[in-house]
Amino acid sequence: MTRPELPVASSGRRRVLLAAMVVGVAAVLLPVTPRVLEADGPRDRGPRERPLTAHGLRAPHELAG
Amino acid sequence: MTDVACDLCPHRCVIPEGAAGDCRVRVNLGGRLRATTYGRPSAVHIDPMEKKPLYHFLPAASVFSIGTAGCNMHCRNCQNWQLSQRGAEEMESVHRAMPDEVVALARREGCAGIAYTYNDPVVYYEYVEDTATLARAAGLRNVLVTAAFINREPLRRLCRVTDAATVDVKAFDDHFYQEVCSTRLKPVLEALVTFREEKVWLEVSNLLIPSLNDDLPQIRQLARWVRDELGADTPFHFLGFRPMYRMRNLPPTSQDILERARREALDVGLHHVYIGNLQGHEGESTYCPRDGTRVVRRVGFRVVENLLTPAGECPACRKPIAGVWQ
Repeated sequence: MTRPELPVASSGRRRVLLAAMVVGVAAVLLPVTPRVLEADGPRDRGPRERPLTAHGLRAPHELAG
Repeated sequence: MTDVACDLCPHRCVIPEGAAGDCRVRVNLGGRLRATTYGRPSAVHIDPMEKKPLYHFLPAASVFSIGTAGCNMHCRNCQNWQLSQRGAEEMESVHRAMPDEVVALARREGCAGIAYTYNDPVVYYEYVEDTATLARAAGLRNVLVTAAFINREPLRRLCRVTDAATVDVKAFDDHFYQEVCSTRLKPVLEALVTFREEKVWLEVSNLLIPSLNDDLPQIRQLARWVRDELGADTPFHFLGFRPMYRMRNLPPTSQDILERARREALDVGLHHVYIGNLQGHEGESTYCPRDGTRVVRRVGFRVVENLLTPAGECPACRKPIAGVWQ
């Protein structure tokens, strides 16, 4: 009696099951994983300076004078 | 802890260590007075000279215009309060531009000069002085747009590098200055005389706010003072108020009151009286005081016709029209 080959379908079902488990575990874990929003450290609290170039000119038409 | 006294303007703030003066931008750091907006303009633009307003100074020229944070006036109707009523650290964005960079860019853009404007240049005095010195050496003109609340000695020094100034007289009423602007009238009048003595080209503006400073007797008094102390050829601009900042409860100035104010000032004897903020009005143009010829026609900030001779005279009667025309 020859050993029957494992049906391809069975092997596929296992892979799908495994993938579903990984996705499920990830879905459970991800929301509680702390997320780093400020990777560069504390934000500079002062104004951000830009070099003065002709292209960078503000157009303060609303400003008087 | 060492206090520092700032002698720049009549507030004469005594500033404790770590604090700022009334202007928010001149601070005591370690016992030394520091100008926190030096080299840090928050508004930069190329404007027509007419926008300052300067109508008798290089007509139709482009002027490189800069402003910073802070002001030593606190007008409840300020049109530029986003700049003027904030400290340097409160601005969302500033440029880094040392005086030599401002001058180089103004030249590269083909501007006739640099205007120190938008907020009052008094509070970035050192930046103005250094930039203006370099600008003059580079052949550029320097223009101050100011309320002239400044002490006499620093103003005299600044006049050495200033070619033109347009001074906004808020009202001919010290009570108005105290209540609306948190300052006083007398130092402003003294500064106007200093500009005249130092031979800086001078124009005067007056924003008319309904019910607060628009009564004709007060307008007549101001016009007479300008005629007697500064001269009848001093260009005078009446500007229309728009509800703004902390004064949104009053209506805009009517065309009627602007026209009546202009008529009053002309009757007093001023030669060149203008109406601003009313595009297309005849009061935007310049007329020969002798024969009434329209010598410069303007629409808004645009010069649409300039009939002056190269020497700045009326083309019809050859009367010289006061101004710096080229």
